[in-house]
Amino acid sequence: MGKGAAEMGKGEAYGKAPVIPRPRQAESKSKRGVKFKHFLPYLLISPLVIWILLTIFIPLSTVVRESFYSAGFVGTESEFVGLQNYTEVLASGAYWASWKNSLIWVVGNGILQTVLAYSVALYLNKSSRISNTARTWMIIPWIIPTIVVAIFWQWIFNGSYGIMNAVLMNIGAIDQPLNLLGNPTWALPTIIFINSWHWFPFLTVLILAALAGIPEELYEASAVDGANKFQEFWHITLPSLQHISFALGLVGTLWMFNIFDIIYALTEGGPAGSTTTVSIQIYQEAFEHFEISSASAMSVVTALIMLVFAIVYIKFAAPKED
Amino acid sequence: MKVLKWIYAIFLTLLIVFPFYWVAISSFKLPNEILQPDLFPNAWTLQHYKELLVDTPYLINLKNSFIVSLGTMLITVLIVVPASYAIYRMDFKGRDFFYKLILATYIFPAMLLLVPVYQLMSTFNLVDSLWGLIIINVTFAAPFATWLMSGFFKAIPTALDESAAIDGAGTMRILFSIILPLIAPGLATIAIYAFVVSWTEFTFASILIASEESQVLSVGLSQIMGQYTVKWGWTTAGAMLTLLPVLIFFAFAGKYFVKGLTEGSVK
Repeated sequence: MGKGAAEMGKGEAYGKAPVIPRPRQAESKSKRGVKFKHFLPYLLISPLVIWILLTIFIPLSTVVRESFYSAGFVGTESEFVGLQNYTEVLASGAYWASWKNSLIWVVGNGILQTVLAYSVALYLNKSSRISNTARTWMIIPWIIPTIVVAIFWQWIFNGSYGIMNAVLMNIGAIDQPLNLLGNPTWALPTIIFINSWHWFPFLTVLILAALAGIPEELYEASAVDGANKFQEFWHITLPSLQHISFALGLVGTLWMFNIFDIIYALTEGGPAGSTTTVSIQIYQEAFEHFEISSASAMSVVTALIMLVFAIVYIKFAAPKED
Repeated sequence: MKVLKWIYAIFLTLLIVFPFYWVAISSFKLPNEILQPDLFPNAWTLQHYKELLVDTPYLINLKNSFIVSLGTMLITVLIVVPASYAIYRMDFKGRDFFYKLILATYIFPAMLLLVPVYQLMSTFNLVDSLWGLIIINVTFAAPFATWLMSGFFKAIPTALDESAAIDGAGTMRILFSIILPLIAPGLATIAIYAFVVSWTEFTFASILIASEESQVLSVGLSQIMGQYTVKWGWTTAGAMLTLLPVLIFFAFAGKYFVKGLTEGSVK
């Protein structure tokens, strides 16, 4: 029993885990009971852990191994080449050019989604009937398949007969139809916009959740102190959102960085490589050029950079506990 | 100031709603009118829907998508609920480690896994099989689902399991007869989440499935879009039909899902 009590302290990070006292009369069964009780949590957690080990950590170890070999596609002969794949990747201009696109992609999505999500959240942060219904339905863009999102906007932005061009030409803003997705300058910003449209509702829900968690008394107290709306937002609302903002800064960056499908569905990385992000680059290397080893080395380098980002971010951006 | 607020609200609403309206309207237009920017069709037709169902493998894709999504949903719930019960309600050595291990899956880009997962699946003969897709979709749905469950478990007072234990109920009985009914909204939330993740997944489906009879909707639709770019009638009708199951599902469960997402993420 002493051990159970000692471990209770650790459990508090997750809320209080109950220490369940064993009834006295079960003494005769207690030996088997203790064993089972000790074993049970591992039994409950094992399916999920094994699943993840098999489908993520074993494949990851294959990537690391492949990156030291020369291999084409599945089933071809391969030999150990040491760091050769890595030196090639590090010297590859195409790889680093894709990093530039990825940075624009992540930052652009971050800014646009934050603006959209905060706007909508501040409108809906009251409990009227309309805002309750709107809260439920505004999440739809997030739950629909990416390919449907791609179709929506390709149809609207279409360079020959899209509605956007028709409207802009009608009001005289342009003389020639614009082909946004076919233009090396505009393709990336356009897909950033489309992807932000797809993802911002999810962000809105999380922000609304965080806003709902702010105690009403804080606002009442500041009203008594004579704070105006702006001061209220700056001194109460924003600081209260710092935990969720911190978490989203990390998870959101990783999520956005990894996005592949919408870009591939709309432009396949073109025109002229202007929308080739790191994800697209790795995909093309592996499944279009069949350079598995090189793609693996790229993956490892990319993962290491992301890991460094995560560590630095957690170290410097973590909100201070008060 | 107030006027600006209204204008911005209308802008945001249009931004969200217009694409749905425009694609829906287009899918009902006659082939010779679909390319014209009329905000309302002059005549309505179901022609594109009929052709889509007859001339493309849409229905097969739909069936496959349902199998994969329901399979993913079921397995995710079955493995996440026991695991989150252990993590959030029990004390054991290594709990912290396992919890972090599950969440660490987010650091690794899915793109990294594309090649090795393909190799892994081909070793086990799961390429071009719906099982392969189900397996990998569970992997992507389960960690976030586990995280979502925390709010639901924390909302249940621990005194409840304690008093049940004093009454002599075993751990398994506590889980089934006391905890499960209380976390039912959480179950619904992660079930919908897993379904949606699977329904919308594109990347792995596009490399793991090669044959037409095993293809799922998202990839099938991208092929319709790619092969018949001129056929905007099919493309818009396909988009609407792919949306429909999600919308129907959401009309019943949407309220609980958004509430669950909110509760799961704050606590």
